[in-house]
Amino acid sequence: MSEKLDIADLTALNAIAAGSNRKNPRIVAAGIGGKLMGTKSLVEVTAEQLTEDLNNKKNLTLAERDELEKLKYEKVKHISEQPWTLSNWYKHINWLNAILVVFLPAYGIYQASKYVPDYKTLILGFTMYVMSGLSITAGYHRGWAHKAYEMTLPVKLFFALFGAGSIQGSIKWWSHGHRIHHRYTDTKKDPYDAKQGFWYSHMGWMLTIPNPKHRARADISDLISDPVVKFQHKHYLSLVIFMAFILPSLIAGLGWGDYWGGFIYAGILRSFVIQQATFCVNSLAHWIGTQPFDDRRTPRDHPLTALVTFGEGYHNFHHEFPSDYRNALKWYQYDPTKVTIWVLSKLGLAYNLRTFSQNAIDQGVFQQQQKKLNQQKLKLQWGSDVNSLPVWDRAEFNEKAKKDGLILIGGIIHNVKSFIKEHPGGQALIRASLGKDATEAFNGAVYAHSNAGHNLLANMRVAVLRDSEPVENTFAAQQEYLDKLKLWN
Amino acid sequence: MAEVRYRVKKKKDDRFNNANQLKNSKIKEMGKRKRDFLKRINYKHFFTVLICPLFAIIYLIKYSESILPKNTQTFWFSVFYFNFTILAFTSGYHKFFTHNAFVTKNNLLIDYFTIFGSSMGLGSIKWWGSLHRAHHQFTDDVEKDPYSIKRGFLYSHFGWIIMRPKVLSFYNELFDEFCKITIENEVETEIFDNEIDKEFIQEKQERLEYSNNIKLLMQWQDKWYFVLFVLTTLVIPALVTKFYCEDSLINGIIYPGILRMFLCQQSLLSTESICHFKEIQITIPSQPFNDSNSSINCNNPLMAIITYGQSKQNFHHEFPHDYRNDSSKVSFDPTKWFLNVLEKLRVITDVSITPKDLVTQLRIQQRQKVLNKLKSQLNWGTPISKLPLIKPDEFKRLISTSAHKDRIYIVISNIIHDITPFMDQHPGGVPLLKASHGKDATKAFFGGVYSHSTAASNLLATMRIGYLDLGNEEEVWDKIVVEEGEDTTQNQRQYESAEAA
Repeated sequence: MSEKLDIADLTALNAIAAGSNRKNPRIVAAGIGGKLMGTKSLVEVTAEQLTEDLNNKKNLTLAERDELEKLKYEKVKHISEQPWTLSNWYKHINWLNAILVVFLPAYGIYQASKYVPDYKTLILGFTMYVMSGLSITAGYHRGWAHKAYEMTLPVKLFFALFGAGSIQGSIKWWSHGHRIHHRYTDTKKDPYDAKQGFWYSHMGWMLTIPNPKHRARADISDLISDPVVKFQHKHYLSLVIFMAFILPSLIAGLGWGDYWGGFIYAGILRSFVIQQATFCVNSLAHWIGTQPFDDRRTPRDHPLTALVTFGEGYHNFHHEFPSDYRNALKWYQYDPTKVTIWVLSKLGLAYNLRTFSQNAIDQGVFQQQQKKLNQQKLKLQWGSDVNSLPVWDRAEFNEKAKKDGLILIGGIIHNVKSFIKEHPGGQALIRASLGKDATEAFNGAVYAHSNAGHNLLANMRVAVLRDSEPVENTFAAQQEYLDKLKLWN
Repeated sequence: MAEVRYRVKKKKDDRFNNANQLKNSKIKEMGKRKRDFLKRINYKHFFTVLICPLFAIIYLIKYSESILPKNTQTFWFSVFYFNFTILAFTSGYHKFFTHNAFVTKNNLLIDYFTIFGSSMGLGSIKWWGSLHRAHHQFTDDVEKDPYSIKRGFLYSHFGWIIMRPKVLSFYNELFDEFCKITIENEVETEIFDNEIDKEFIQEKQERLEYSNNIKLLMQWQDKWYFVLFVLTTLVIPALVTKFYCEDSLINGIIYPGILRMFLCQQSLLSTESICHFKEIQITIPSQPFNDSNSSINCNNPLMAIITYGQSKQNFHHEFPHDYRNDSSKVSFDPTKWFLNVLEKLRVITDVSITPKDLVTQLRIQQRQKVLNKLKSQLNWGTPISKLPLIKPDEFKRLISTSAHKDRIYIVISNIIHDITPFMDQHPGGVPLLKASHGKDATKAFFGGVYSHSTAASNLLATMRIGYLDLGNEEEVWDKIVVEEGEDTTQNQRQYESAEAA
């Protein structure tokens, strides 16, 4: 049949999604900055390889795939697959990152414990903390990684400079990693996979050498063509040193003579706090909180996470609607980043603020609520399914009715023996109906039973009467009957 | 000719007479209404609910006394007497006589209920109980519900007790039925031959005797109601205050007597007004079990104290036989505590409690109902059954025409989607969409390139324009059943529940 439609070529699409379908101008960072905080081996993969991975998953059983991988790494095991021993432990660690996120802050804390700074230095530290924190959330994250809105040049420059000052890598590297995280959330390809434990997703992922088997890629062609991103990546190391350490020292030193306090408090400690806050999004936001939009994956909403991360704590929403410039929807939820972007747009410094339709957002909420409700429903008894009940003759019913305490309602035979004494309307009524069709009496001729009554009744089903139409939905039947009564009156 | 004129004249006269008649009848009606109004006032309750409290308030103002008694003994006696009498009402009048929430053979307890319950001034058991049953059976009915909230907030709070009910004949029937003595022969219609039945007959006779005794007591109380009211509201508090608390007689009548009664009355009356009035947001109203009537659960803890633990009216209206007012263990409910103690002491038996599962079921059904309503307000995309069938060739030809040059059509799960309006919003970028234009991207959408979120699937559904006709009708039908069948046949039937009732 030539009628069949072309199937979209996965390899080609993956190539587009990974950005490897065309030659991108390579930006080489000056000096050691190129490798700074980079997990380069993670991202060097071609689209063909990605599709191959996928096909392998589809065509091979798990056992076969394990076998294949065993063969592949039989002779040479990658360092990340070798156990930690006394002789190779240093090979597991990404030393550059360890220095930047562990040793330097440790040194800073040690020095801070011995030195009391000027209160002006503390204010400076806090101000810089807010500025570089917002650069990460509003700039790196929502601006570049998700393109949730468009920035004008001054805003871009501000975010690029102060973002570098928070020592989290260049925009290019950071956004690439983040896009991979969204593309492969909770899988092995996710660079900060939350399923590997709290500490791995917090800091472990950047302190250890990753396994090259789990390489992934995302398209960042739009970032590479951005001159600000290019500039920042090229001069990353010098920018870090200047923005993170020299600038605060100079301000504090020239302003009120507190060079050392500026360096320790507004420099090292401040960048440490921001680093930890950002790591919290990867760990805490996948660990504590509620999942009002989707509980298939780990992201969660929690006000505490939002508090330490400038509003990035509503992570369940964010993973459902990544390119929405908001993270919190309600007025009482804490999201200063959203407010910042909104204010920038009002000042004409940002534009094209992207939001998802309320329809789509509500759909997600309701679907999740439905899912929860269905789970709760499964825990309860709702009565046997009519189709699974045995079919009885009229004679069989008559014979057993008196002895077993059977009542016919809506073509379904119910065993009410154990309930006779508990009947709120009295024993006499229910006894008088034994062996009879009490449909009308139940539906309102005698008493229009409550929902609870219907639920109880459904749990007493034993059989269906032959040649009758069983009415499973007694609620609707009752409503019909009552409506009829109203018409007659 | 003359005849015709005469006819016209007569017609005019008729009309004139009619108008006059109408006028007269209207004047008559108004006069009748005036007389009826005076007739419709229930003077007994007018005295207990309005005159007495007014008297007390005027007394307080005139002699500039404080609202709380100065004598500590009197104060503590008032507090005790408040709880003592209101418990007789909530557990006696309400739970025992009206809702049969438990059984007791202890005459002392029943006497306590009947005697001290009348100190509320809200009528005899016969009167209050039958009206309350009518309220439960015909909730919100303007005619039949004695304190229907639809007749206004003030009427449901206060008006109903001062005025006689409008449809008196209907209520008279209820009154009669409420304490009619059942004669054995009336019920005994069928002869039972089983052993269980024999047991049942014996049991029934006992129960008949028991219920007839109670009904006799209610008739007696109705007869002597006013005497009992004066005794419990004025005489007893006055005497206790005078001789036990060593205070003046008038203080006894004012504080533990009338002011206490007034407080009790307001607390009990507010359950029928505030707890049925959704518009007052300060009570934090919710309807977790059934939103088809006006009863609400007031979640403001202050309301529980004001109404003496009866603020969860939505629960109570769904489970009136339950001796509690809320399924939660920690809620403020003195009546429940009191009955718990009595049950521990084995004074009362057969206390009716709704099984936990039943409560949960109803909660779930109500939530489902609300959810269905909310869901129905959203755009879920055109259902498959209503999409036009388009042959692949036709589709290919269609998209190759110049009119569709700048548009993007992608097929996913055999459904044709027009992605054009969403193009720029796609988080993965436009090039991916362009590369999939006119192709089947099912695999790519569901994980081949990106494992899309539920939100993305929802968005996609809103962009449906057609179904690809591959000549496989069965497959289409299966899909319709999967997507819509569940909604229309099974699910709805099962969960329509709440909507139906």
